[in-house]
Amino acid sequence: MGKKLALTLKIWRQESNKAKGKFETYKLKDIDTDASFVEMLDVLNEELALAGKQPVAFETDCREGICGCCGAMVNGHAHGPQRETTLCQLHMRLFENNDTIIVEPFRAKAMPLIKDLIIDRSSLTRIIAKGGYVSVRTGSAPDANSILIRKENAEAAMDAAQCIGCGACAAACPNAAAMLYTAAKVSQLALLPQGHPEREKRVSEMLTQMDKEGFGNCSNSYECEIVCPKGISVTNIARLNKEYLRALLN
Amino acid sequence: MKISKYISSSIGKKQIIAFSGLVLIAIFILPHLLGNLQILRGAQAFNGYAKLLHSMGFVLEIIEAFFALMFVVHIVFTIILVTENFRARSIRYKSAIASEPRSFASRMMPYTGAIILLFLVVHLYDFAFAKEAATSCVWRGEDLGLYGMVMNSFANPWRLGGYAFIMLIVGLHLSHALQSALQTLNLRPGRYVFWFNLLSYFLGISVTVGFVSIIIYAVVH
Ligand code: FES
Repeated sequence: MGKKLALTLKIWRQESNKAKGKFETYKLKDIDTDASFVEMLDVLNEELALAGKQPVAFETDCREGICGCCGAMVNGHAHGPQRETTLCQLHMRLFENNDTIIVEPFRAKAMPLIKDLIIDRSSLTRIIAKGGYVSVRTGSAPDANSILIRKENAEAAMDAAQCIGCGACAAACPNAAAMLYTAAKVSQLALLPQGHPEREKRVSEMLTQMDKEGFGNCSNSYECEIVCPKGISVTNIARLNKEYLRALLN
Repeated sequence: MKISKYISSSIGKKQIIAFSGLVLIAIFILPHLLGNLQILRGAQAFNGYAKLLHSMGFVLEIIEAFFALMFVVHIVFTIILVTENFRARSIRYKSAIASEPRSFASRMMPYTGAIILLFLVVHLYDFAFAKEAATSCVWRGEDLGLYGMVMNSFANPWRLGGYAFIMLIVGLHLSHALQSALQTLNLRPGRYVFWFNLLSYFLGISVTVGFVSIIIYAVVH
């Protein structure tokens, strides 16, 4: 067991997309420093439920940093102040006794609020649906080394494939752009031979969908790279830019 | 892909802004700085440079028209981009959002750009259009042409301060501009990112220092 913390939480409460929201203040005692941020919210919700109040709505699933469900702005940082960490993997030992923690939902027009800290990220899914896959028959597993892939490309594709689609990049972007997300999804396929047959169509249609959803335009602030829980690099955005120009020229 | 689709897409617009920006750096800002620096070599050298420009006649007009086109493209596409970006977060954050110091110049781009545009209008009015009104060219009792005009205008402390401020803004704009344009056009390979960023800061700083050195020269003389 870790140490115990007393905390003041200011959490954004909003009944629905149309309702008016506001910050509510809650006091918590005896929060274990070994608890994760979402476990701390569980404790709060239990207290609220016992007091006959509405618990705070927030989304989690795996709680091990791999599904991309969780996420909120914590003291102004998407997923909290620790680098390469999802909200569910953020631990309370990062905070001090008597800290005030402000929790606000991710905000972007293309990711509208549903309730409290829960947002609708189906816009990200619709971008994937436009080409974030390979539709050619790949057959059974090929013999080892029959398709040669440069080590650097394999590594870069794997790095891009780490994206869990949490939306933190768009949330932290001053322009609410989903550029790092789309870049990761385009990159992971553009770097591998399996992705090549549909290369131009993929980038063109995914980007059109991204624009249609109402995400902003990247202005190279690189805030996304800082908050990405998977450490996805903005070199993927440069690759996306290149792929798009390539699709125009071909 | 159709060209119309490219132009209306977010990446298309960005790349057009990046390209026109790079062109302006290469054929407008840098030559302009080099030309202006001739002032440090004295009245004769500077007026010689002005004369050389004038002697280009028709060619100069074509080049100027090209500058104007690049500026218009750069500005129009930026305005579209900025309005779209503003709309993309229709409901703003209510708490303070942390931002990286390195993104300061980036976030300021629309504002520094707008200030530069205002300056450009004033500057054009001052130098290019106002031609050489005889009285403003007289510096210390001597008609020194354009050189005299520059020295006279820097005798006014407001102008001098304003000019120095604008050059800081230009430097800030350029310090983000170069690396950003290279990223957008994928001319900044991953492994050299650090060096390209450094180059971008270097460009910003040297343009500011270059233009400000002219002010210092004017004050000293
Ligand atoms: S709950 Fe799955 S990543 Fe946080």
